Amino acid sequence: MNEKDYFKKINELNKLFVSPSSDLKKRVLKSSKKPEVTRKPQILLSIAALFIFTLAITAIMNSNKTEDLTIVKYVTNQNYVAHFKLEDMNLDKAFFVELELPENIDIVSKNKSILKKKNFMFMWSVFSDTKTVSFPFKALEKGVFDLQIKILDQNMELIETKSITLEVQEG
Amino acid sequence: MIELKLETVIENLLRDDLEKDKTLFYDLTHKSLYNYCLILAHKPEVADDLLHDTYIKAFKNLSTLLDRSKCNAWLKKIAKNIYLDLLKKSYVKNETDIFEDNFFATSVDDNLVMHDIINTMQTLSVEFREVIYLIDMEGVDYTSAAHIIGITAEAVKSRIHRARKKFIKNYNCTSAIPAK
Repeated sequence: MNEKDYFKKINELNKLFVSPSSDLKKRVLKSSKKPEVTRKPQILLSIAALFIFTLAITAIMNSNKTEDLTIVKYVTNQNYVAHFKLEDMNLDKAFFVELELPENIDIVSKNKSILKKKNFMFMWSVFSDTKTVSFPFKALEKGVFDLQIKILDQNMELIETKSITLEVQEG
Repeated sequence: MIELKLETVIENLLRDDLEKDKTLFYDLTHKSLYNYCLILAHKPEVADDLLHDTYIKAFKNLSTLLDRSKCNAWLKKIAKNIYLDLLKKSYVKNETDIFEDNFFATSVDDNLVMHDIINTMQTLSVEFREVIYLIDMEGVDYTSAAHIIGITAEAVKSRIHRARKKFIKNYNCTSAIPAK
């Protein structure tokens, strides 16, 4: 085969591709349908909107109260940094943090390699003013993940177990 | 003419979002997109999912398509991104698998020369198959192909040159083996 034959044969090959099945077309069109919204009386909608607004305000107020609320910052693709506050804990020495990682969350080490561990432990020195512990991790998908965190003292004695929620979003 | 019609369909879709316009949009774009999905994914069942997800994303983000004349390239770019996501999640393997029997029309089996051509395609990496499909089979220009693949136009030129060379070399090797 030379270059001239190549173009001829490639063109012939193009004609031989199969088409997708008609079922696939139906599937695509069905999935792309927007859910139908039934029209409600205006007053009901207003009440619903007010209710949602109240709920949202309550949620925001509650979230401000939670000291160990986790903020996740997007860094690069799939790489995140989580920060959690431990203000309510009276810790004045270096301590250890042990994380029980859920699936889809991998800890990233300082040299950016991924540590495939279910339980991950690291030492955290005395708090700075922010009283915030940070750790980099890799999330394979977006979503909300529950994380168990154990705070241990220097003798590896358990001080407290906390449950935090990682909300992984796109930045 | 088709491009012009497609642009009108997109306008209608954005304005009214009617089922018939979606069908028309699908009819005008699906063949080339499906072939591209097959080239990427090897397996028809993966290509089906890829095509499905591409349309769902496309219908959702149609308003972000600024240059409507480049709709086909835009769809392929979406398919490529979804494919790369699938690769990351390891749903599909980035290996040169054997093409499924129903990858091409069944009548191919009767044509020995075409069989050799298909066999040669199988020997190429997904990067080479992709560039051959886009440039030589679809007739996509270098700039659009570069946008779809996610490399520069110069890299596309270099890659297609290497892909053609590899194809011809592999074809001459495989066809030299007598058929059983």
